[in-house]
Amino acid sequence: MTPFLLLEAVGEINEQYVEEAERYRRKRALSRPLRWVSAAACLAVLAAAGTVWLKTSSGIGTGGSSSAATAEAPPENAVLPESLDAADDAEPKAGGAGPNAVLYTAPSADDAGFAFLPEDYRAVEDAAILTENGLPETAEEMRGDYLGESPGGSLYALAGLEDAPAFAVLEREDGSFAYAAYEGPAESGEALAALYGADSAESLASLSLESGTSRDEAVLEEFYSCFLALESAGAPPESAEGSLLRVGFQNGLVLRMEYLPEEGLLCTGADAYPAGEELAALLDSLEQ
Amino acid sequence: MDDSQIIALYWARSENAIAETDRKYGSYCRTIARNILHSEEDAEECVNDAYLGVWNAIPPQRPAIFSAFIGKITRNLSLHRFQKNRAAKRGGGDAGVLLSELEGCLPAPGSLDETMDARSIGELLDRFLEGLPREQRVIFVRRYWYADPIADIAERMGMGQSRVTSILFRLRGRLQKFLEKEGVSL
Repeated sequence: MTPFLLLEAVGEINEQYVEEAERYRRKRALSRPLRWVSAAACLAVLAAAGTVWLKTSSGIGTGGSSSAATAEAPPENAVLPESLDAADDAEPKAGGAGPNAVLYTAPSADDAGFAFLPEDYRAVEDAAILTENGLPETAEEMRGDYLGESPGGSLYALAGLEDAPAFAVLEREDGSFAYAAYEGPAESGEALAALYGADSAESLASLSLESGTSRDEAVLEEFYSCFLALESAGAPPESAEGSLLRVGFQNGLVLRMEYLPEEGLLCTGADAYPAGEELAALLDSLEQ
Repeated sequence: MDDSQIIALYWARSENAIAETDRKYGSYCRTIARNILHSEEDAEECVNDAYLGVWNAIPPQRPAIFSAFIGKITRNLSLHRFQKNRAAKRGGGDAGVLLSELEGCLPAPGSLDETMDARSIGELLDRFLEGLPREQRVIFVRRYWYADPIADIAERMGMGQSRVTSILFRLRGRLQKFLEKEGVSL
């Protein structure tokens, strides 16, 4: 296959997708004053319609004719709305969660769900981490749905990565935006996998220790199997030194863990997971 | 004039068929051609050739979605013109950038049946697109079918250019993985 053949093949996709993409135009969110005007206008329309209904149904004023609220069928050549699905055009809820923190539940393989609390997110200070994770400079552009309040400000999901809540967008009190990373506990490897949206071994892209990288499918599969079985033994030791393990995912995100071979531990900032013999052997083989 | 009426003109071999097509879809077709070729002259030629292509195709065809039908003819003609220009080392166009982007989607050699043609790969792409959220699907199609610039996609989607770029980057990674997986299972 060549890039040109692939580009030609895109031309062979279902015409309904072509039409969908032609019609789609996302409406920009209304500013707050306009939202209130809209709401007031809606109420006024409803009140008027209700009045008309009362008059016509009870025969007051009009002699009891059939409902004036009968909807007319659209004319035959009516211009169809640009968005095919009206639900998609619904205004996003503004500050929907209210003062209480929203539990952000990421899907897991068995749909049990894991709760990653907004209060455990912290602003990312290190620009290298953003680059490593393929996150563009302007955090505001990546803002998705509102999640809740964190210590640094309002937290929003990362648009396009809603199923991988390792990162989010933070709106500070001064109105500036930054990326935030989850720095809370993750009881198990399953929870870590859910954090990075990894629902199978195929979600992994690479494994790197300081001196070696593997993209071998068999290695990734073995790693994933051991990874899921990890269980947190509590907070990581403070002073131990180890190697930086980078777990790369197909969605472009990278999980950093510290591998302490002497202690047999894999650590995040919040948890230490006993690696076990099999995983330790696999990680040791990466360094050779 | 609605599409069924335009199609009826072609079936009746009416002289007005192409005029009505140009009135309704001229701008649409020129945009597609211009996105690919970046040359008004070449784009105009491709659009005129597309009208001839439609005239020759209808009848016997009776396309269900006329805009996509004529858009596809325009797109194909423009891509082949682009290829011809590139061989003659002239002209530019966003198609070159698209090809560079799609290079990263190619499955590993040997992982996909090398005899697959565009239509077969198109069927695979349908399955890939079907599994995407609507917004991501629209972004992919606007970029690789319509050859829209990133800025135009960002405006249409009501989001920043960086976000569009980021979404496309991830979609290409997913597409590569999808093509490799599907190729092995064939």
